[in-house]
Amino acid sequence: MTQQAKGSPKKAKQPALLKRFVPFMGEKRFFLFLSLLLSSLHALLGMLPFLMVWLLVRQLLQTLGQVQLEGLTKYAWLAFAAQVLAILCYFAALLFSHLAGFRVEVALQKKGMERIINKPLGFFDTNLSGRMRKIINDSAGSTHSFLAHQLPDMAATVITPLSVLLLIALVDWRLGIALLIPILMGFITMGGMMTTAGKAFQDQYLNALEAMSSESVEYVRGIPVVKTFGQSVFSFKRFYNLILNYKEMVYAYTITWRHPMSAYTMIMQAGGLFLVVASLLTWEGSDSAGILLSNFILFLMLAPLFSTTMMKSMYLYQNKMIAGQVLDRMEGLLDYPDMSRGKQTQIDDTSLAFQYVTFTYPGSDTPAVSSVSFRINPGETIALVGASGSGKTTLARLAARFWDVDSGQVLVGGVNVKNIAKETLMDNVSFVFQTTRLMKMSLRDNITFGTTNATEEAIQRAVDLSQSREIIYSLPQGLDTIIGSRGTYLSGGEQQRIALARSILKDAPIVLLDEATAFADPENEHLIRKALKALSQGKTTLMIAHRLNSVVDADQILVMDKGRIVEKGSHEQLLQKQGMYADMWAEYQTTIDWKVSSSKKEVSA
Amino acid sequence: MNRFLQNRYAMTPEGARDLNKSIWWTVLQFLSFMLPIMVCTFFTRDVLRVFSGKAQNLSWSIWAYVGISLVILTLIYIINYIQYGSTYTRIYDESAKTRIRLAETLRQLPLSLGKRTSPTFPAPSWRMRGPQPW
Repeated sequence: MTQQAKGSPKKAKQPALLKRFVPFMGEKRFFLFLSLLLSSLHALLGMLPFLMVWLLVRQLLQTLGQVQLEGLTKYAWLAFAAQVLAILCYFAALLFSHLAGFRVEVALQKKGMERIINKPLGFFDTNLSGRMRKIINDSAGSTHSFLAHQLPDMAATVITPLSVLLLIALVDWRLGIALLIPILMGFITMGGMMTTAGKAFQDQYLNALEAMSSESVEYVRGIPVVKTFGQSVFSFKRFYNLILNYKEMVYAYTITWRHPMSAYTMIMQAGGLFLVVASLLTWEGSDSAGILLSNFILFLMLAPLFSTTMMKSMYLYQNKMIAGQVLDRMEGLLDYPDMSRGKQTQIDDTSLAFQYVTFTYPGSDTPAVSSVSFRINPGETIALVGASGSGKTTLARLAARFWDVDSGQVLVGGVNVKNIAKETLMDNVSFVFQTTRLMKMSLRDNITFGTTNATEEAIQRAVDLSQSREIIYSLPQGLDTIIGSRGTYLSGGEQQRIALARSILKDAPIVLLDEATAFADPENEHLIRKALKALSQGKTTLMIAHRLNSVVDADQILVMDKGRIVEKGSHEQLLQKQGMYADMWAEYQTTIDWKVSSSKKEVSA
Repeated sequence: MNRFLQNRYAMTPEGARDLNKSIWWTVLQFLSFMLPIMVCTFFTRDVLRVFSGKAQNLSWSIWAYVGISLVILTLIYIINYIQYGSTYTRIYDESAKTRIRLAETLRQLPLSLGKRTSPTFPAPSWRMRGPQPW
């Protein structure tokens, strides 16, 4: 069983959403409660103008023909004061909810980044950067939006309907029922949205958006390949299909809502009509017309308030659901099992050994490497060769503890990597991958990254040994030029040489080289090869190479096939065996001959 | 109008046509929302006339109000049904087309965009090592 499978316990019931935000608020958690309190006050004060208008109309109708302004203006002033106070309370509630929202947004992003940095290296192989970016940004964005904009409405969705119900009971229950009927009908119509089907769709929707976002990043990255081979977006099938799938899924779901949504809108607009019919049913002749009219006007004013509040509660529920789901996703992303932390800070020597190592990638049924054993003595170089997918890169990554092995053990300096402290392991191991990423900082900072207290002399030596001097000379501010700013970019081969300077400066005794020249042009390949030689001089080196001429000098070559070592020996020994390596060598020679003869033909033409 | 929408919002001709339609249906939708208010206003005026003694009875019977309410509600439903279709469903067609078109546009941009050189500030490594004009 893989560690991911092992590390996915059944999810416990989540606490209420607001409670989940509290840990991110720190000492300012009272902002949340203050916002709720102020918005409750706003909701209560917001009811007073309606009440005042009702009293005003009532008095006006009772004193028809002998209107006394003095008695009426007090209602107007009270309504005005209540409305002003309500607005002020709402502003204050919004202020605190925004402060809370921003705080949680920043805290979520910080926490997400902190936890990602502490994840094992294998985590970054299984989680695409586009997906991680989307999940962290969405979680922060949605939670901010929920807290800042919906929190003040939360109190109103409880207090306003309760106040309206109280007024209904006090003023006229018959008209009150007429007011409630369409609202209840509307909610029954829209009830489906709150069901598990609606929630499942939200989940599907977020998944589809996430997949499309990840794939769009991959698409942009792959554009050079798409262009080079004269293809179009239609040939980037996965991305294209994801766009269409997303459209079809949302389209189908939207269509199912066409009738209920139309019915809901119709019913919500029908409140006034229900009130007219109810008023006619309670009509007792011209004597009761004044009271009926004042009550009718009050309920006519309350109808949109009530339905708007209920509508808000529905959006609130929906946004609450979305905020909860994105929070779940972020927690799910970070729920990647952490590795046990080793404590040993001393290793015996600089050897590297694999003992019966078997490892299966998360989600795969077939082991990537099976029962692999070999040892690299201090100062020795061992090369791994084999077809793509034969397990070479996996072995190199297991040595750097990208993942923990399923069985067997990887020993660095005679100590199981699981028992070595992370810092000690990283101090003793350097790796150079196929692709290198430099950070947006000066070349000097890129080279000294990971090495503390590097002297200027050591930096200059690393620059020379990595064949990077020419790159430094060509930049306006030499080593202090910021990479990635003002159009200062380096080619893949140049970046690789700077990365090698970093590894040379680090001077770790064990070096892992994973097809470091794979994407280099011939000129850069030659320089990188020289730099690699300087880097691995006297070091314990595990080298993976697809260009076989770079492994001929290795102390031992291991040939891998389907996760197992099938041949081992020096270059000459393996050629004599006439096995897989000899075939690979013959094929490699043919490729070189073909290249040379093609070039010759071009020249002669 | 269609041409304006197409240029203003970078839409396909079909998208602009659909948006144009949905704008008109939304205008109609909001106009239809005025109908219940008109009935309420009429009713209020009617009751006031009786209350102030200008009339003995209400102008319409309860059945007339019920009948007219049903007609209005049916009208609102039909307009909303069409408006919903013209707005909510068409948008996903258009956004899918826009995404694909954007991906194609990105593909057609020069490979150098955002990479080694910038049109305003060529990469120093390229500038210094290329053939020098002096």
